[in-house]
Amino acid sequence: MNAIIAALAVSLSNSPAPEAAPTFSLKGADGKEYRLEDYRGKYVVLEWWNHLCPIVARHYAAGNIQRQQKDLTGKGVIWLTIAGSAEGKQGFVTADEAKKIMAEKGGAPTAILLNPAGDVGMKYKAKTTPHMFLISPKGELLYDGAIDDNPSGRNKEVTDLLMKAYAEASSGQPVSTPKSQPYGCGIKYPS
Amino acid sequence: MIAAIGVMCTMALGADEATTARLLTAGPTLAPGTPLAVGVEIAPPNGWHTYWKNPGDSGLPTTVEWVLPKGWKATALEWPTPIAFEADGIVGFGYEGKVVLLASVVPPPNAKPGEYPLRAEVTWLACKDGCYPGKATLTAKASIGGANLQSPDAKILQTWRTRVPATPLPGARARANAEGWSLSWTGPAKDGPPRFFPDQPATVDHAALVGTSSGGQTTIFLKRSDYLQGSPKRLRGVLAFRDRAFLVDVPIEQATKQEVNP
Repeated sequence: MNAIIAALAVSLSNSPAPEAAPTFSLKGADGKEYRLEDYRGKYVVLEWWNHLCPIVARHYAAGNIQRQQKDLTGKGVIWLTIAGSAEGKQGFVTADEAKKIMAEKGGAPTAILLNPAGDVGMKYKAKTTPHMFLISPKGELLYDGAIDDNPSGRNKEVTDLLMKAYAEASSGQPVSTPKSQPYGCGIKYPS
Repeated sequence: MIAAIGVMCTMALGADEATTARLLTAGPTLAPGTPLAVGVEIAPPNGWHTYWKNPGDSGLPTTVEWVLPKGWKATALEWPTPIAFEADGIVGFGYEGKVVLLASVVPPPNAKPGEYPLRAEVTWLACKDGCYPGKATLTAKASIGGANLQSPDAKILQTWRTRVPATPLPGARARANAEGWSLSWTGPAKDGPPRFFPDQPATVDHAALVGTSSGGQTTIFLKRSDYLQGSPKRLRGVLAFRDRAFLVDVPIEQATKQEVNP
């Protein structure tokens, strides 16, 4: 009975309920295993990363992503940077390379996860680097899209869309832009 | 920030991978108040591509910013029909190899005879397996009041002009349905289903396209992009057949019942 009422409530509400974020378990560059379920109770950010993609490089050269990583992890958010290039393709990194490159850039994710097989990216329909996702403490997908609204990198006014989604969700408001078109280089999935 | 990209670019590009850019003019001479056809040629190495005004799922559009003498104006950039390239399920729109993006520069009616510098600040993203950003400052001269000379580039500009879609799609109608829109027109599909290139990113799911044909009308179904916010009032873009392309800019008729794409 309760389930029926809940189902009715969902179907009657105007905005669709957030989807469950696909679960995954991936090896980190630090050798540890990272499971999404281990972070229930916390906000989780996923960042698709290819350090050789010029759009990613532009954000890191400007300190833009590092700033967001530090800000959010400082608030207890788990930030997982996913190296998603297939072996032999642009941006593929070994565990040691991933750690070294991120350290050189002053990046501060909670962990770098290695996914050369691309299966986690495909589950999330991740398309570009960067491509950002925000997951709620209950494991719901709250945001899927671009890091900001500045694809050309030349806008004077910039809205950090991931940060905005987190600010809204963490203050109990609905996320006003739950999806936006990501921009950047296509993810180098295995052919 | 731009400087950092520039440095990275020099390091990343081998000489054989360099993309060249050039400013073409139909001139050098023109009359006051008369437009002069110009073009920005971007030529990446073989097998590399640059992007259309809507780059598709990934990439960045080429940008052109004009720096012109006082009182001169440039018209909006006109883009030849793009192609779609797909890699691992990610669909980009743009040009493989050389492209010329067209515009006109217009001197003010009271422009005095003399030589005038034209400048275009151009940025692009060239991709093959990886992507490399490029930028260039391109210059050319225009003169008013000289002998009536044509540049050898005038022919090249004319050729590329024929590749800019200019004809509206005959009898075009767009109707909303539960999954996106249908687009129908008068006439056959011509050599297989065409491809629709939406003007704006985040409109159409670039991976899906199905066509049907009956009674002199052809209909294709466009799936709404997951990333689209709100309901667009018009469908704008280019419908490209194998050897011809048409402009689409029509109001979207709302569905009367819950219709779905087949």
